[in-house]
Amino acid sequence: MAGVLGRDQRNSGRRIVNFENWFEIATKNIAESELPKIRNELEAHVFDAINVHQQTGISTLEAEEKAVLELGDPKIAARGFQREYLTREQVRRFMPEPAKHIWVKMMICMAFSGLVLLALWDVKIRYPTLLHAFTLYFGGTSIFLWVAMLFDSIQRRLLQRYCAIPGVASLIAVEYLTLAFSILVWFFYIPEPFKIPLWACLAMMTFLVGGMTCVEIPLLRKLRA
Amino acid sequence: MNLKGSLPALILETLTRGPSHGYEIAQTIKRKSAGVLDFKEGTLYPALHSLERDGLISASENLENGRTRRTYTLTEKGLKNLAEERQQWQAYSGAISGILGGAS
Repeated sequence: MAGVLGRDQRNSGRRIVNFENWFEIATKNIAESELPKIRNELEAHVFDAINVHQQTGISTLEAEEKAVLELGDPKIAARGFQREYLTREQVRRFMPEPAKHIWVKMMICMAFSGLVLLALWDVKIRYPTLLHAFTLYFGGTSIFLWVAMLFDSIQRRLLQRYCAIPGVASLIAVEYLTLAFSILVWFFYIPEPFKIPLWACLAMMTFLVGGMTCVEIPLLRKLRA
Repeated sequence: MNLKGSLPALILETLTRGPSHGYEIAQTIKRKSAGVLDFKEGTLYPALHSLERDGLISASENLENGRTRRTYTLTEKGLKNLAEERQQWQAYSGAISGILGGAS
């Protein structure tokens, strides 16, 4: 499209309306991942229109200008696109790159390993040495982190293929459920004074994660297509 | 005349004639309205994708002259929705005609 429809072309001082400029304005705030499918379809549309207009004997550039004018005001089209497709802002807020939320995983891992250590401290190993504690805490964290990474790549694949597990809230929800399950498995071994605060934390976290996931639900509609 | 709000119904109606792609749908609507409806083709695609998400139309992609083209087909759900839209429109336009028609 760029060959015929390059940017900022001028003809005798008159600015030629072209597809590239139109597309840039219409999709200004749309997420990168959404652009190819919009572009493919609109390009096919404009090419059809150019072919039809050229049959009336006008030049390719004039035909393109006419075809683009028929698309209408790109700012109006932009409103429609923003309603239907993920915007850059939504991607930034709800679907950050895994590297950006690695700290969440780290915290979960640390917390999980800490709980394991706590449980073992009380029940299995009464007086662990510093080496025991170090091995358990960081060894456990590393293993859990590795599993989380593996899980993350599976999530990304699911996201790309099926648009499942759409955002960071859902991601946290999934990992939180894993963590909550792990805690419940170890619950029997957790010392008595920690049990009630732990229940309270679990309840609060469930409420919070549930709320965050609900915020993402409007995005699901956009992700379904 | 502005198409605001009626575009999805017009798209569904156009697709009752068979599967079609965006440009063809736009041209059919323009031709059938004899230029009366102010229809900007750039607004067609968000509407098409919205209908697709709602399951009222389905899309298939095929390669044509080296370009990916999406062809849309009306679904059963879309057909039912169109019947409801038609009914509502007839009731609405009948009511308006009843008032404006009698005003002269």
